[in-house]
Amino acid sequence: MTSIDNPVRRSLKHGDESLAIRKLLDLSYESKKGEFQQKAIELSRNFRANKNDSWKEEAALLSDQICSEPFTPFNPQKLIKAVGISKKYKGSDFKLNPVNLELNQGEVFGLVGENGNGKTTLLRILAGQLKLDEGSLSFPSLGAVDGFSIRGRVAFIPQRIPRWYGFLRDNLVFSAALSGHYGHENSLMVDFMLERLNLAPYANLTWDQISSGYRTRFELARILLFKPGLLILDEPLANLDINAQQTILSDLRDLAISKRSPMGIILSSQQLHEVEKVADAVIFIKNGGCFYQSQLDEINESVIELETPASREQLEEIFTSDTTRIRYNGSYFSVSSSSLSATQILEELIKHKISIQYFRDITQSTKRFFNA
Amino acid sequence: MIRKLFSLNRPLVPSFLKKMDVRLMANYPLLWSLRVHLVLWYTLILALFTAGYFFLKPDDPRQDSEVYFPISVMVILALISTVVWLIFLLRFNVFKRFGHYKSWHACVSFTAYFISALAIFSLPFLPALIEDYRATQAFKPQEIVEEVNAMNVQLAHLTYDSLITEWYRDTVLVNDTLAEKGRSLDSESYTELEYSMDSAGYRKVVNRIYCGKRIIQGDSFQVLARNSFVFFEVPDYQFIEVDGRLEAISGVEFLRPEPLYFKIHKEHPNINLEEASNQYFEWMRKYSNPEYGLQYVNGVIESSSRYREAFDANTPFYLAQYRIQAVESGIENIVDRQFFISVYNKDVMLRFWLYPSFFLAILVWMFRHSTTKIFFLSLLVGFIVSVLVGVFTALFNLSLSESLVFQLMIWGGFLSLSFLSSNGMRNAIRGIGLNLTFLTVFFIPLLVHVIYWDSQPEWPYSYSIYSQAQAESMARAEWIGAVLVPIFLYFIAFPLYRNWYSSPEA
Repeated sequence: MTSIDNPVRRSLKHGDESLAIRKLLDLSYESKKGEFQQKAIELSRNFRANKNDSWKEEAALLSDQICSEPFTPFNPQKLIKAVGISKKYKGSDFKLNPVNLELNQGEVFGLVGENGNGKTTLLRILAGQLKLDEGSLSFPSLGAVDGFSIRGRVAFIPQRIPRWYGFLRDNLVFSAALSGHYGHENSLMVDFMLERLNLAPYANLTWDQISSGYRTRFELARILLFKPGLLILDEPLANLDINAQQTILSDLRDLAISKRSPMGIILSSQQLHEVEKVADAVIFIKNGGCFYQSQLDEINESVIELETPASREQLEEIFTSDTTRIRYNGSYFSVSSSSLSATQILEELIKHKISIQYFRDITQSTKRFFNA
Repeated sequence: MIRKLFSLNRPLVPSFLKKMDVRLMANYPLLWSLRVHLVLWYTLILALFTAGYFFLKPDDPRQDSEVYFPISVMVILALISTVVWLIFLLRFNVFKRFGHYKSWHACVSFTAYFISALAIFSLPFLPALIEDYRATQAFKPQEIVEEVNAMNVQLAHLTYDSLITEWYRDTVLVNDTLAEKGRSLDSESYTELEYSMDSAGYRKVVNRIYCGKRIIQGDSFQVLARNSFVFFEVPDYQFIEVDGRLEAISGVEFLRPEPLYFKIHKEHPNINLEEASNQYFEWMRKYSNPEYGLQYVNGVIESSSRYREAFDANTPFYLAQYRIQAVESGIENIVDRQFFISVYNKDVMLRFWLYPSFFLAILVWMFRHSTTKIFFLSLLVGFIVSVLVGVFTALFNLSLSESLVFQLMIWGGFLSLSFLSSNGMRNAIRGIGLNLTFLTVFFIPLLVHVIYWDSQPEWPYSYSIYSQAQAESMARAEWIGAVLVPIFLYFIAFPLYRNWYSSPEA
C-alpha cells in the first residue's frame, strides 16, 4: 500500500480550476468510496455554478483526505496480443498487411495514417467485429470465456456514433445498471460520469438536441460505465474543438491508468501531435501496412517543420550538407537531417537570422511520414 | 434523481409507474428494457377505455350483434400497439450490448414478450366479452330456458284448436345389404340420406344401425315383422326452439316434444286462455327482436317445415299474432352474444388468443437477438420455402403425410444450418437457419401429430370418440410444442445465438 501525491492542490495552485475538479473527481473515483465521490460531484456542481470560490478550499481538503487513504499500487497486465494479423476484403484490392501489436493495461496506443489505409479495419479486427484472415489475436487478461464475453469487455466507439434514443441520462442509467451499478450506486456513477465528462447540463436532452462533440463525450461516458478492459476509439477527436480534443485526450490518459478499473486504449486520429502527447506508442499505417511503430523502430534522422518567409534558396544556402534535405509542401518546409539534431537546425536558422513563424521538432512524431 | 427522471415524457403514466420505471431501469435493466410494465399499463388503459365505451354504448342484446366491426378495430389497434412496442424495443437491448446475459435471461425475455403479446392480443376479445357480460346480466340463461319452456306451453294452449294431434309414423324395412361405410351409431354421422325408399314408395329401407338409432331416439315404435318396424313421433310443439347449449350453462332442460305433448293435452282443459295470452305477450315483448316486423311472418311460414307440422296450414295468423320468429330471433341473438366466447368456443378462442401471442413473442425474441437484416431475410426465406413446399407437394402429388415428412426434413435442414461451422464468422446462412429453426420448433410435435393421425387406418369407433381422441392428441402436441420452445431456447437456441451474434463479420 502506498499514498499518492495531491494533483488537486497542484492544479489549484496554478489556477487550473477545471483540471483541479477533474482530478478531484478522478481521485474520488479511485478511492472507491461513495461519500468521497458524492462530495466531489457536489463540488463539481458548485464549480460549474460559479457561485463562489469556497469550493476550492473544500476541494483541496477533500483531496487531502482522499490522498491520505492507502492506495493499492497498479499492476498492469497484458491486455491484447496480435501477431501477424491481416485482412483482405472480397472484391477489393485493399489488404491490411500483417500487423503485430501488444498492449498492457494502462497503456494508450495511437494509430495514425492517411485516410483509406486500413486504420478502421485494424481497429474493427481488434474489437472482434471483423474476421481476420491470418494471424492470431488473444486477450490474455480479459478473463473472457467466449466471444460474447470478449465483446462485452472490449468497447469500440466508431467514428460515426450510432444514434441512441431517449434522454442522455436514461441511457447512462441503463449502461450503469448493465455493468452492475444498481440503486444509489447507479445514480452516483451516472452523476459522476455526467460531471467528469461535463455532460451534466445536457443530461435531460436527446440525441437531436446535442452537438456531435457531446455525442462523442456521451458515448465515452456510456462506454466507461461498462468498465471495459480495452477501449478502442476510431477518430474520437473528429467532432471535437481543439480544447475538447485536449481535454478528452488527457482524460483518456488518466482513465487508462485508473487504479479502480485500468484499461488499455487504442485510438486512431488525424490529430498527430495531440495523440502523440498522450500515447505510449504510435503505429503509422500506410498502404495497409504497419509503416512505423514508435516503440520498436529506431530513429536515425531529425526532422523539423518550419514556417518562414524565407525562400527555399535561402534555406538551401544554410543547409548545404548532403545529409540534410529540405521539402516544401506549399505551406511550410520540412527539414530532415541525419547529421544535425533539431536544436542544431534551430541554432543554424537563428545564426543566419532567418525569421521563424513556426517551428516544430517532429523527429519523434509520425508526422514526419506525412511529409515524406 | 428520481424526481428528475419523472420528467420522462410518457402520457397517461401515473407517478407510481414512473417511479417503478426508474427503479427498474436502475436495478433491473433487462426487465426495464423489455417494457412489459408499460405494455401492461397502456393495454390496461386501452382496455378500460374500450370497456367504458362498450358498457355505456346503447345496445339491445336482442338485436343482431355488430361486434365484428369493433373486433376488427381492436385488431388494428392491437397491431398498431405491437408496432409501437417494437419501436421501443429497438432502443435498449442488453443482448446486443453484450451485457450480462445468460440462457435464463433469454427465457425471461421470451416470457416477458409472451405476457406482453397476450395483453395486446386480449384487446380484440374485449368487445365480445362485454357484450357477453351485458347480455348475461340482462337475460340469465336459466331464466331464458325456463321462459322458453313456459312460452312453448302457453303457445300450445293458445293455438290448441289448430294443433296437430296425430303422431307422425314412419315404416322402415331393415336390409343389411345397404352399404355400411361411413355409418356408425354416433348421432353426428346420422343423416336423412342414409335410407332409400322401397319400390312401393311407402317404406324406408334402412340398415340395422339406422334402425337401432331410431329405436333409441323415437318416441315409440311397433314391430310389424322381424325386419319391419313402425316408428312413432309426437307432433313437435316446440314453437320456440333455441340454442341447446343454454341447457349446459343454465342447468335447466328444454321441454322436449314428448313431455310437452302430454303436458299440453293434460293441462289444457284447466287453462285460463286470457291469462295465458297476457302472460305470453309479456314474454313476447321481453324477447322479441325489435328489428323484426310482421312482414317477416309470411317468410317464416314458407321457410319453416317445423311450423307446418305443428300448425294447420290454414292458420298463419297465429304466427303473426305471436311473432314467433321475432321472439326466436331475439333469443338467438342473446344466446349468440352469451356464447361468442364460451366453454363451447373455448378451444377455438384460446387458440385465436394464444397462437398469435406465442408467435409474436417468438418473432420479437428473434428480432431482438439477430440483426435487422438477418431477421427480415429469415422471414423472406421462410415465405419462399413455404411456397416451394406447396409447389413441390402439388407437382409430385404428395399425400398429406408425405408433404409433412418433407417439411420435417426441411426443419432438420434449418437445424443443421444452425449448427453449421461458419469458421467463427457471423454469416447470414447460419443466422437464417437459426431464426427459422427457432421460429418453427413449436410446430414439430404438431407435424408429428398430423402425420400420426393421417397414417392411422380407418377409425373403428364412433366419430365423437375419434374427434375427441384427435383433439386430445392435438392439444398434447401443442403443449409439447409450447414446452419445447423454452427448453430449446435455453439449451440450444440461445447458446447458438450468443455464439453467432458475437462472431466477427466477414
